[in-house]
Formats: sequence, C-alpha cells, structure tokens
Amino acid sequence: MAQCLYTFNVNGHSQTVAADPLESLADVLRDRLHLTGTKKGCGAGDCGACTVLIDGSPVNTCLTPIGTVNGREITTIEGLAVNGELTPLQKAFVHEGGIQCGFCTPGMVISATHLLNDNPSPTTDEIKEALTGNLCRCTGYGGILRAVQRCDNYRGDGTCAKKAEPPADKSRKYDNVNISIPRVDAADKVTGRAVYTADVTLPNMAYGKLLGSPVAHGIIKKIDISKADALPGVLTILTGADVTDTLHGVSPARYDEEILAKTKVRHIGEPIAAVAAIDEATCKKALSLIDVEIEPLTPVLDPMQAVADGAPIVHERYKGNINTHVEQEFGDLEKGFADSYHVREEEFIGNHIQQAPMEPHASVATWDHDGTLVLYSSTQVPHYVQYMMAHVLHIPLGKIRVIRPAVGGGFGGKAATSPIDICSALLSKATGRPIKMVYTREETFTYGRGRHKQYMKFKLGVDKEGRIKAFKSEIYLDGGAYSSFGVATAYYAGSMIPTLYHLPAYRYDGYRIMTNKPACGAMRGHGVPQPRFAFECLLNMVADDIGMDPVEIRLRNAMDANTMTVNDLDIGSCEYKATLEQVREKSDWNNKYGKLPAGKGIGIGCGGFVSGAGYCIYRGQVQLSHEKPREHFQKKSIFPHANAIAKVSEDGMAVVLMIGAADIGQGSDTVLVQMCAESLGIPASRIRMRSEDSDISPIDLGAYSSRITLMGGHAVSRAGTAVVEKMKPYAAKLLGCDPSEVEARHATMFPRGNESHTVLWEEVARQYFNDKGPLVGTGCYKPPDGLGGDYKGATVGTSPAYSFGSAVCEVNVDLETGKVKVEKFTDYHDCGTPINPQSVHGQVEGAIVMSTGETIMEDIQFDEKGNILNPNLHGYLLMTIKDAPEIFSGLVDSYESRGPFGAKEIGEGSTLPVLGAVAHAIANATGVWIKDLPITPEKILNALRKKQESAEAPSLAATR
Amino acid sequence: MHITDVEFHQAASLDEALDLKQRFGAEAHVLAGGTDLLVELATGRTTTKHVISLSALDGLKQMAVLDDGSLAIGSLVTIAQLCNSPLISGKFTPIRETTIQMATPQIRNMATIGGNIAGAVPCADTPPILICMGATVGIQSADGHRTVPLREMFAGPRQTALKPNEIITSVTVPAQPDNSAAAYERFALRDGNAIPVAGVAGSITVGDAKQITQACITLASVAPIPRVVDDAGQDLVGKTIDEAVVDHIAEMCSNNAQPICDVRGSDDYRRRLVTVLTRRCLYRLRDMIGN
Ligand SMILES: Cc1cc2nc3c(=O)[nH]c(=O)nc-3n(C[C@H](O)[C@H](O)[C@H](O)COP(=O)(O)OP(=O)(O)OC[C@H]3O[C@@H](n4cnc5c(N)ncnc54)[C@H](O)[C@@H]3O)c2cc1C
Ligand code: FES
Ligand code: FES
Repeated sequence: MAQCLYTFNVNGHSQTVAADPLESLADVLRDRLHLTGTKKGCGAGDCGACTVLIDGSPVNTCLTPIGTVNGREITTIEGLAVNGELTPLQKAFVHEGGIQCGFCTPGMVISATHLLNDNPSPTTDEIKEALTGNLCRCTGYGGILRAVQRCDNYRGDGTCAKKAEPPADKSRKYDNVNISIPRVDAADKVTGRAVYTADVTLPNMAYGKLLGSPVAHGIIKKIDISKADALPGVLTILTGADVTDTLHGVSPARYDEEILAKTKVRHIGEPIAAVAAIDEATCKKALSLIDVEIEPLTPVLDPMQAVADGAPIVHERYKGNINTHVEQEFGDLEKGFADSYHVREEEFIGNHIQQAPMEPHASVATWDHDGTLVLYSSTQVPHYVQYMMAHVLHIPLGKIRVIRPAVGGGFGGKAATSPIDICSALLSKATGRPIKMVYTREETFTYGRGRHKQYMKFKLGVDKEGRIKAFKSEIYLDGGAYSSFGVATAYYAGSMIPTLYHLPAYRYDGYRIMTNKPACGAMRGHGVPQPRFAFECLLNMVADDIGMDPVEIRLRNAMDANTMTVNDLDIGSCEYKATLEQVREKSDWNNKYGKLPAGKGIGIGCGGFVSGAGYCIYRGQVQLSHEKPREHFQKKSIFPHANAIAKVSEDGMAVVLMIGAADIGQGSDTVLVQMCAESLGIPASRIRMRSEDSDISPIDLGAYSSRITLMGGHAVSRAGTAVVEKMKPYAAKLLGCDPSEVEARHATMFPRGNESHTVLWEEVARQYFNDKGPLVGTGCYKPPDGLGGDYKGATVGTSPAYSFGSAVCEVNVDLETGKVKVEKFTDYHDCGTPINPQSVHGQVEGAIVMSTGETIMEDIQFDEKGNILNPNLHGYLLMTIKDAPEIFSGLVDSYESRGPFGAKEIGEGSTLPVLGAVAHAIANATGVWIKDLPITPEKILNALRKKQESAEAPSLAATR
Repeated sequence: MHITDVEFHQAASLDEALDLKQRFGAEAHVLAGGTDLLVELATGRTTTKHVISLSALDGLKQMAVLDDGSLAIGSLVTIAQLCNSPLISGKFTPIRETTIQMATPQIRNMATIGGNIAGAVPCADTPPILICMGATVGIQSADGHRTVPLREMFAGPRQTALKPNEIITSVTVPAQPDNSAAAYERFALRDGNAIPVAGVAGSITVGDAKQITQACITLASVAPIPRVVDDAGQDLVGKTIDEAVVDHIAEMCSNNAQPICDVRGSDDYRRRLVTVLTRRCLYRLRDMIGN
C-alpha cells in the first residue's frame, strides 16, 4: 500500500520517515535511518538480534510494523554510549569476553540494559530470564553472563572498581601474547558501529533475490519470467540460460554446481532464477510471478536407499549415487582382532545439523569502471571466494576485490562461495548497479552446507589391559545434492580417529552419498565430530565390558608427543594425558562415576583437531583456473598459506598490519595483532588491523581447519620481525652498539641485557623513514614440506600441529519425560601456548554449548518430498542462555615447537570431546545408550521403555 | 503474500475498528501484538487484504478486579502485563505461573492475551489454564456484545467461534472459590523460549474433607483445540487425590489426547507426556489444597 509518514523518537531525537505501514521497524531503522546496529537474524522473533527498547521495554523490531510506532520512544544500541563513552555494561561486555562475532551483541546489550535499569543487582537466574530471547551462537553465554554479573565493576568514569589491573610482570617471557587483552573490534561491536555485509549501502544500490526450486528432484521444462519482468521496479531477471556453463564447487575434482539450474534441480531451494529489483519486497513479489514448470522425478532422500539398486540417480556422473569412496587400511587388521581379548561392534547415526551463525549470509557486489569486481561478502574464506569468482566469471583473480566486513559467525557455513556471491556479481553486471543480496534464515537452511549425517559401523578390539588392538570403521555420509567440501569430509571422517589413541591396526571405508537435499559441507570439526562421538561412546562401552574405568582406558591408549600415527600423521606436542588427568581430578570423577543416583550421570569424551590443513584446497599456484593445466600433486605447498605486511606509520607511533585472514568472530584479528606486537616489541594497542580487503591485505587462505593462529601467527610475527631487523642498524647507531645486539620491547630498543639504556621505538622508526622511506616488513608461512603418507587421501588430516582435549559432562535426566538438563562441564585442553587465554576459554564455552545442542536438540528434519520441516529458529532449536551448562575451562601447559610462540588451535578441537561426553553422561544417568543423534527426550523414553519391556520379558530379550 | 499488497488501517477507537471489521469481514485481520500474525504473513501461511491495527486502543490494555472478585482483562493486555501485574495474585496466580513460562521477554512485551486466544493455535499456553479457571470471552461487533465461555471459543487449528465482524475485547476470569486450586504443567524441548510439546492444566475445588466438588482438566498442544477432558473432570468429583485416582485420570487424559506427530515429537510421545504431566498437575493441585 501507499507509504505514510511516521514520526517517532529515536535515541532522543525526533525522526520522521515515509514507509509502508507494515514495514518492520527493524527495516526502517536499518535501511531508512541507517541505524544498522540493530541486526536481523531471523525475522521471526526467535533470535533477539533486532531487540530495541520501545517506551522502555525490549521488543523484537522484526515483528513491529512501523505503522504502530508513531509517537513512541525508541532506544537502539546507538543510543547507549553517549559521545562514544561506553556504558559500564558495554565496558563489561568488552572486558569479560561477552563478544565474539558481535552479531547478537546489540540485542543482548539492549536486553541487559533494560534488566539493569529495573534491577541493578540481578541474580544469575534473573539475568538468564532477561536474556532468554537473545540467542548467541558463539560465546556459549559464559562471557555474556559474566559481563552482566560484573557490570558494576566498570564505572562510568572508565575505572574498574573491583578488578585491579595486575602490575606489569617484568619476569614474563612475553608482553603481548599469553595474555587476555580485549578484542580489537569489541568497542565497535558493542556500540553497533561494526559494519556487517548486510549493513553496507552503496550509491544507486538495488537488491537481489533467488528463486528456489519448489521440488527436490526434477527436470526444468519451462521458466516463464514475462509476468515478473513486467512488474514495475524489476530491473533484471536471470535464469540458467543466461549464465555460464562453468561449474563451481569446492573440491576441484568435483565441481558440480551450476550457478542457476539449467536442466535439472536436485534439492528444494536450489537456485533457478535471480531477480534484481529496486527493493527486497519487489524482488519477492517478482519471484512469485515467475512461472516454473518442472517435471518431477522421484527424490531420493535416504542415503542407504540411494545406494540400493535401481535408486533414482542424482547426478549421472556419480554412479550408484556414490560421490566419493574412501578405502584405507593400515597395520594388520585381522591379526589385531584375532589378538583381541574383547571385540565390540556397534552402529551409530549422526544428525544433520546446521551452523546457524546468527548472521545470515549476505553479499554486495559492484563493478568498477576498469572491470574490477568489488564483492562484499560475509565469508570465512575471502581468498577462495576470489578464486571461485575468477573461475566462474572467467576473469583474472587480480580483477576481483573481495571485502570481508565484520562477519557474524561462520562455523563452516560460510567457507564456500555462495550462490549470492556469484549472483550479486552477475546481477550487478546486468543492471550496472550495485546489488545487495541477503539470505533469509530459511534460505540459509535451503542453501545448506551443514554437517553431514553419518551412518557409522564401528568395530573395536582391545586386549585384557584395555589396549586397542584394532579398529574398523565403515561410514556412509549423507552428502546432499552436491559435492561442496564433501570429498574432504569423507576423508576427515576417517583420518582424524588415529590422532588421539595409538591404533596398531585401522581400516576405514567411507562412502559419501548423493541425495536430493541441500548439500552438506564443512562444519566446525569438519567430518570428525560424529565419528569421534561414536568412537568415544564405543570406547566407553568397551571399558564397561571389561570392567575398566573410562578415564583409565583412555590413559592406556592415549597419544604421546612426537609420534607418527598409523596413518602417517606427524604428531608433535601432545599433552592429551595431562588433559585426562586434569578433568578427572577437577570433576571429582572418581567419586562420581558409577556412584550417582538414577537420573544423574557423568560422562567423558575427548577429541582434538588439526591446527591448519597441511595443503591448500586447490593445487598449484594462484592463477586463473581455466588457464592452468592440471598440475601434478607435489608433497609441498606451492605458495605460502598465510601472508602479512606490517607497515609502520611515518611518525613511528602506529603499525598497520595487513593480512587477509578472516575474523569471523573467533577473534583472529586480536591474536594476530598480539603476535605481531610481540615481534615488534610494541604494545598491541599501537597496531591497527587491516584484514578485510583483498586490495590491501595479502592472501591468507581463511578461517577454516583452525589454521589462523598457527599459520597467520607465523606470518604476522615474521612480518614484525622483518620490521625490527630493518630498524636494528638505526637503533644500533643511536645506542652505540652492534646491530646484532639490539632488542625491541616495551616500545623501546636497547642493547641485549641492558634494558635501562634505551631509545624510543618510534624514534628509530622515524630515523629509518627519514633515510629509506616506508618502513615495511613482510612475512609468510608455508606448512612444512612432505606432510602425510603416500596413500590416496594421505593429505587430509595433515597439519603442522594437533590439539587435544578432554571433557567431563554432568547431566540430570528427568526419567519420566526424558528431558536432559546438562548441568556442568569440566574441560581441559592442550592448545599449546594460549595467545589470548580469554579468547581460548570463549571458544571452549561456545563449542560446549553449540555441541551440547548438537547432541541433544539440533536436527534438520525433512518430509517425504524433501522439504525442510524446520528451516527456522523455532523449529531448529539452538540452546538459549537458560539451557547452557555451567562450564569450567582449563588449559594444560604445552608448547608446540611448530607453532608461533608455541601456539596450536582451539576453535574446532573444542567441539570434539563434547558429543561423546554428553552421550556418555546420559547413558550413565539412564542406563541406556542412545546411539543416534540427537539424543532427544523421546528417544530416551523409548529406550527406557524398551529396556523395561525386555526386563519384564527376559526370555525374549535373551533370544535377541 | 507480500506485505506491500496489504492495506493497513490504524483504528483510532474501538468503534472504528469494529466499523472496519464490519466492512472487510473475513478479508481483514486485526493486529494486536503481531507476534503471531506477522510471522504468518511473512511465511505466507496466512494471507489477508486488510490489517486493522488495534495498537491505539488503550482502553483494551487495562485490567481490573471487579466488585464480584472477577478479573477482567482487556484483550490487548500483554503477556508481560500478566506476568508483572499486582492484580495477578492470590487465586489468580496460576495465570502468572503460566505466562512466565511463555516465549521471551521481548515477545511477552508484545504478545497479547487476545491474540493468544484468537490465534487459536493448538499449542497456545493461556487457553487451557483460563478454561480451567472458568474464563469467558467478551466479544464485540458492530452488531453488539456477547459473552462466550472460553472453552467454546475454539473450532479447530486457527479456527474460532468469532464471526467475521467480531473482535475480542476482554477475557474475564471469575473469582476463584477459596478452597480451589489451579495449575498448569507444560513440557518443552528447551528451557528458554520454547512452545509446549504438551501441556496439562487443571483446577479443582474441594469440600471440607478435601473431596473434590468440581474439577476441570484441559490439555494443551495435543489436540486440534484445547482439549477439555470432561470425563476426567466428572470422574474426579467426590474423590480425593491419591495415587490410584491420579493414575486413572492420567490414563484417561492420555487416551483423550489426539496429538499429531511433528518436528517436536510423535503422537505416542505426546500421549506419554500427557500422562506424566497430568500426574504432576494433580499432585501439585493436591499440594496447593494442602492435603
Ligand atoms: C518467538 C516466539 C515465541 C512464542 N512462544 C509462545 C509460547 O511459549 N506460548 C504461546 O502460547 N505462544 C507463543 N508464541 C505465539 C504468540 O506470541 C502468542 O500466541 C501471542 O499471544 C499472540 O498474540 P499477539 O497479540 O501477538 O497476536 P497477533 O499476532 O496480533 O494476532 C494473532 C491472531 O489473532 C487475531 N487477533 C488478535 N487479537 C485479536 C482480537 N482482540 N480479536 C480478534 N482477533 C484477534 C489476529 O487477527 C491474528 O489472526 C510465540 C511467538 C513467537 C514469535
Ligand atoms: S531478527 Fe527479530 S528476533 Fe530475530
Ligand atoms: S557473539 Fe553472539 S552470536 Fe556471535
């Protein structure tokens, strides 16, 4: 309907806008008033990212029509900090680790502000109640809870009342690493200033939307766009006929995705047309006017049926619907089982889950006059996006500039080039205008790339002492309709199992299967969490069978430092046993395991991960993929995986650090700044990070495989060292010593051993500039040559270093309803030197809450036609702050000689112990093992009923 | 459904709202808190030509305890008001105990009691407890006013006894007898912000010897409409709550449920939940009465 004028008060100022009355207040604030601190994560009242105060009360602006707001008082996140001075609560968020990706932060801070206005010293339960409507996918709520609890520590005047700054410790080895500084982007995120991709507005910008296939499997007969094209406001419409035949994807051997489906559709929601129009509402209306005729084919949704004879074929090129088959055998399996004292076989089934970062994917594309594509994308992998855009657009990589604004979480869901990355560029080309495309929450589900559901058949043999003799794993992965990362996923599902325990003999058969569902991809822990869950459960079952304590059986098999695994992975530092001993002690395991009343349970699970993949996803050098011949694989990196430039300002007072590493909320900008500062010998506060723009920052492969701390860390610290090396001769001259004697620390330079004889760091930098011009250092990192064995797939799982961790979980199960309350987690990790301990604990807390949800409540469900039944955050449940357990996160002493300052990873390794620990605790509480995820209350009750029935009919049970 | 195609009307008074509803009838939806309607419109599950916003009708945002001790709740009273109002005390406390379990603080600030009823969603939380407490609904149209017992309001999922020109203006909960108790037990898959998989509301009034003189059990989320288990209510009369009675009633309620199977749980599971929740509800009622 026609627009009307609405006048209301925002943050103390009267505002008048013209808008359609049913337009949401969220859209009006963001698009018309440019107050983009208010976020949209779901559009349905489920996530709370859009929370503002109206007349003093928090509400969801996505469900508030502007027509009802006339004359009311609105406070948004932008209205809290006055003249840039953060409120005490905002300071507490910054200092207590309440912020990671920051996408939930504005809504969270608004809700908490309202709580504290009413109730200055709330109880923990009151805080949880006040924040139930605000979902956070990153922090696990720990830092948020601490921020609200300790808010009164942070006075308005900037001082901290209760938390005295610790005195500078001169004896510390490092000044800037192994220390918890606040995130470098925290102040922007807590005030709503941080710009995410959907917040970007360019002059003359228009909008785009994709039309998704309404059927799961079918042949496109006709697409008639005439009615849509005639709709006023529509700028252009593209269909499969208008786009290149070049296929894209992730694994170079399996590019199989079309930009827009040309003849066949393979899952519901698969893009078949792209519309550009003057606004999103017009786009949506245009989509509804496109006539699509699709001849339906029988969809195949169950992977076990997909491999049966006569099943419908998803892709002609994947015979029998098998996308990848992995077959690996190490050691003498037969002998191992023959020598076993006890062998147990079990089947486990995982669940199909989604990363569900709070920020849905977004892209904004525009073309410069010289033919350079400028693409803003909420991506974890700017370089691979650049690479894939070059591939599909047939232009050199150098003609593509990828800008990665703040990213509201990824967890693997943003690790590939998305249809909106590509289509925004194509629509922009076609219209000559910048195009913004933002996924709805539902579209993030139909785009998919979530965790593969795995069907696992495991067999484990141990000797009398509980030592593992042989392990056999057969896994069927439900891949969905396209390859995406799936080839690597299928390999990872096998390759990481031997990193935790000494396995003398191991066989792995993996099959990735195509089905008519959205493609699965890489999600936190890539391919490993489900097999790790199953293995840890099986190990616990075996321990029970032979009457051994679960911690003990692990200690007897645990990996040791400096070991080559049975599948040729080179383990360096390893403090796995220490993590086991620590969790046992801290959780009071010995007094609890087997001694708790019915309904209460305790369980253990362990896990670890790579600190960066040993090899790049594509082979060869950085070059347009069409032009290069298929390169022969060499066991070394062709080009450096992480690259950094440190540029010192002309007055020596600031350093700009450039590296294309994607901070997606995990905090990589902060740890990289810390490591660079350490090498430079200046405080981290003097460094500004420029990681977001491929025109400025050299290539880093991105945020996946937990690689940035180790790989990016080396690159930035080498860049810092390069700067200091250049400064040394100038410092030596000023100090009257030999250049080789010069050291840099505390923003000074001095002769080694004589810290009282100093010259200011910036003075030396100025001297350098006066003489030689720009003071710049570069650094890069290549993984060691020769990683991995010589068998097929040996590269997957290789890494410079491996992390290890153990977690103990305590639960309370309502045996009448099956409801599980995960009460407590005790977690210890070996992540090498923690560069920023607060960030490490934040990753652990986030992983525990995310993976607990994965274990007990998250599950994408499909109907028989292939529709997702819960493509939203009320059907697909994420843990709220009320569901989150109490968490203790501890670290063991560890130093990795291949890592910068001894560091390894934490982001994904922290996920792996969780699933098994929760499952074990539930089994311990209920007496029944649930072997398929998620472990819902209903499954628990069914299992209890079955157990009871078989107890009542013992003869029957005995025959089974 | 495209929101841009919908005509929006901001009613300045109840009379104007009623006029508009008279004019557009079934082609118009009234907008209260919008927490249900806007999600429905955005997903296309509901379509409409006209939206009549009631947000300016301050008269419907009031609540009062009347002379006869009954509680009159304007249809635009929010769930948050029901959580916080000092009027929701004494025998009306079960209302608050229900509403504090609903949704999120933000949604509660927007969502209204009228919308919770008129939406007629099978999993709505307030109808079962209000039915057990004997609530009636005040309905207004250009033709006049009528009062309907809440239990007669529901015709099916998203279907009510409202005529196309009618608007709910109030919900009235009668004064509860001294020796009575009401309680609601719900089960959800998450501790925060989750709609119920199943719920059981119950109320009893007892005589001097604690034997039940009147009882009502209403199930949530396990039938197309809030399911009043009349047999259970009648059966309870004359009894005191003991284990045998509880088991019997729980089984009866479970048999009376007509649950569907969806993403939140199977029909079988829901039935079992009804058994458990009925038990818990009855034991709680016994405790409240003071056995
Ligand atoms: C995140 C989230 C969580 C939720 N959790 C719960 C929960 O835990 N329990 C629960 O019960 N519900 C829940 N809901 C659903 C919803 O919030 C409630 O049903 C709410 O009470 C609806 O009220 P409203 O004022 O927002 O209704 P609206 O959306 O404004 O209206 C709903 C329907 O009722 C009609 N209507 C509204 N008022 C009147 C009236 N006075 N006369 C006639 N017709 C009218 C409208 O036309 C519309 O069809 C949740 C919703 C969301 C988004
Ligand atoms: S965007 Fe409004 S609640 Fe999610
Ligand atoms: S920090 Fe909360 S969603 Fe990322």
